[in-house]
Amino acid sequence: MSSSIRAVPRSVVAVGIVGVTVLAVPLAAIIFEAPWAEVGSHLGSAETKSAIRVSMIVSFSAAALSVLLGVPLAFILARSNIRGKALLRTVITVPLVLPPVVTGVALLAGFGRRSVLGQLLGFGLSNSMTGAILAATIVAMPFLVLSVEGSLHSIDPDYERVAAAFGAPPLARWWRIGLPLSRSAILAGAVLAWARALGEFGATITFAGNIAGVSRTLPLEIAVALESDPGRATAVSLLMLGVSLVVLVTLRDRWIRR
Amino acid sequence: MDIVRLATTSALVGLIVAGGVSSCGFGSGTAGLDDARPTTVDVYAASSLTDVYSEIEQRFEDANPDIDIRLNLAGSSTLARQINDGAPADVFAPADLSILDQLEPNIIQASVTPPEPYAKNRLVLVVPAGNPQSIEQLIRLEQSDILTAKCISGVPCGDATDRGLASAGIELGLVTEETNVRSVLAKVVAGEVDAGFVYQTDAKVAAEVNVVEGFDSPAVQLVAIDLNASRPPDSARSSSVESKEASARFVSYIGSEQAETILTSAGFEQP
Repeated sequence: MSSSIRAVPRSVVAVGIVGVTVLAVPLAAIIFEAPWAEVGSHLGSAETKSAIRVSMIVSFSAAALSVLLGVPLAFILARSNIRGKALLRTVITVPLVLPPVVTGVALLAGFGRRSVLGQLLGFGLSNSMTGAILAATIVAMPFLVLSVEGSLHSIDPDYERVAAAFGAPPLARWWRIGLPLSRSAILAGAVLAWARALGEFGATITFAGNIAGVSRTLPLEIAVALESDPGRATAVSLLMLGVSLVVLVTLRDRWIRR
Repeated sequence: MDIVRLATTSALVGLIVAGGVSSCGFGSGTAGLDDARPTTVDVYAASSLTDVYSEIEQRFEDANPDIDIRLNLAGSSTLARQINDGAPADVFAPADLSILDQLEPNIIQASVTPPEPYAKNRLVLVVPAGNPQSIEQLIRLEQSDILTAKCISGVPCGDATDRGLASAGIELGLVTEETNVRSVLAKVVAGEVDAGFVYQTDAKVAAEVNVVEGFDSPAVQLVAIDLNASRPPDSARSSSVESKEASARFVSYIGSEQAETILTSAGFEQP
């Protein structure tokens, strides 16, 4: 703001305004067109409450699993020199770009009733809450891994070098240096992963089905309500929009500062 | 800051983007400007009609080379929403007559005569090939360890399933709801659910499912509505005489004997 020369050309600003308009118009429209008088009763309905419960269990479990499994993976990607690291990174991050429905189909092939594992166990993980958690974890974990790996790369390697020189074994270096220094990245990654898990739709309905109280999360509830009760669909959409805004505000200091 | 100039530039960029997007989206719906170009008829048909309408399209175009049928296939209520939002549909062919209630009154005008169903369809209960859970009777579906797939309530196949189950006095023990009937079929074919309610025409398409007898479902009535006929000629999408004539010809073909042969061999019943 204090710079005296124009940093951004006017034409670029013009395109920026168009971009913001395209993004903002639908969001503003849903807020203005919402049946505000009925939002309370829609959100208090038994169907919505059940979906909120399922969504909370699934999204928090997925975020927790992402931290548990993702933090070690991020350390491997950032610190080790193992062969095939590029392949490992691809496997971890491919759900970011894969259409979620493809992830769902892949999950059916891997853990469905008719999969090798499913036939071995005698049951599949599909059409269950476990399946919904699994689907959400797979799509959410890349956000955590990328966030933590990025922060590890920015840690001065001298800290760990010095610790090693004083005889600290790898696990201690990881526990005492890498982990504490990437704490805020883990937190930010966990919030992002949780938000992605909360919004997951395609992989969930394909793999975990759409069973009320089991795998019917808030996004699936919106799809159901859209066919029979559009007012409820809008009300639940508003709820999710509100949650997204809270997530953004939580992460504000990381992204919007400067 | 030169606000006015900035606003003008933004508006211009916006117009260019919007123009580009919309010209990609829809080709020119107007016909008759160039006699060599066939007249396009946009047909919005239910996903349960995917196979049969593709065949009808081919036969119709062979017989009418001056007309190009463009199919838009999706769930009936999704299509109704698109039409209410101003989608340029010429013909609407939902999976059931009842869906017409979802159209805005100004779209389906009083001048249109009550639509005559051209065919009927029925829901059946299907199980994966070989019937692994040996489901012989509807009552088995009340068990909480039997997973049944059905369409979401509000779409024709879901509503017909609900009515059939209500009249049989059956409450499903464990149910997963899909957005359209083909997703239900896919889950039964994949063996991921123990049973599912699909149209008898879908059951005929898939060899990997067995039909369980004994589910008495209400029939759904198939209609094809000529939305082009009631559209005023000065509306946003210009409806020329050629375009109206082409839409009318397609709708009357749906009720013809040729179409009846295709429909019957696909498993549809006469109305």
